[in-house]
Amino acid sequence: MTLTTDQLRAIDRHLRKDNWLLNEDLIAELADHYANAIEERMANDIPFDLALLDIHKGFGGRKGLLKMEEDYYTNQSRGYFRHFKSILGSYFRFPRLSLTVFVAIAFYLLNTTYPLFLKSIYLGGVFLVILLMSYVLAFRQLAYWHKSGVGRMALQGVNSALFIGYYSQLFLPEKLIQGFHPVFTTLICMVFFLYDMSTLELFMKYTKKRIKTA
Amino acid sequence: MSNNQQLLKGSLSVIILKLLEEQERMYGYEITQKVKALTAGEMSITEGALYPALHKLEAEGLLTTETQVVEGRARKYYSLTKDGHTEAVSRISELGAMLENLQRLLNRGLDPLKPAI
Repeated sequence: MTLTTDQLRAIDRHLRKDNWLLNEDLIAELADHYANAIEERMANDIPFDLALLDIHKGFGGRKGLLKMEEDYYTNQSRGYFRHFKSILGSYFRFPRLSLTVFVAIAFYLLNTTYPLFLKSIYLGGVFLVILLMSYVLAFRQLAYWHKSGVGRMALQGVNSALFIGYYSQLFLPEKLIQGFHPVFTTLICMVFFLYDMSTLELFMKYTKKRIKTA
Repeated sequence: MSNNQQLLKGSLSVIILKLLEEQERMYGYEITQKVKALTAGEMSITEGALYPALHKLEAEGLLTTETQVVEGRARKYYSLTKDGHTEAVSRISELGAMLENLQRLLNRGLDPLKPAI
């Protein structure tokens, strides 16, 4: 027995309005579960409202659903952090290791040729674009999920610290920058490069994974 | 919560991994129905326990998900990752060994343990 549009809307209302769920992915997953379970019960002559109530009990009522959503956020954050570590790690393994080595050599050569490379407006521009892209994606996610887990907050916190750190050093006296060893400045560039490339990939991956609800 | 369900909750992740090892991909409701069918209705997984377990396994990188629109609804399918396959084998054998030991303990009614000296 297939549910009518009104019945599907009633399930959606039940999850969002009656039980205060906010996470779109979780709502979509649970709505499908409710619909399947209600269809089965209705095929056994159980009315829609009773079936809905019965399934709701299985989820532990509103308290159970809200706890599930809370755990969902926690698990998502853990998942992000695990993914972030694995993406970052991939830059130290083949085939990406070649890119890391290539970029590091390029940064080193630029830093030795132009001692003020770190203060270069062009380098600043490149980092700014990468950072802004990751921020746009991050804020889209934050606005979408309403809440943020500890893992993502930590990621964004470190990102902000690096952002502030990098741009404040742009205003450091040139003499001080010239005093830095090229290896040190290359290291700074590499931290930015790897951190932002990994963050960007992570957010792009999760944006793609989102359930599209029309 | 019945005793049966308490026992089930402890081994839920193993059950999920085992089912996904047998069937390439499954969605939440399908898992609950499969458990019910395999145990002839003797055991049933509550929704309140199943989804947190699935989300946890996904966060641990043992499961991966893909969403497909079925009958106009978004359906989330779970399947094992490469790590998930390895972990499934190890967790199933761990649980098997534990059940064997448990059975040995429970069946020793007629053969009381010797007192420790």
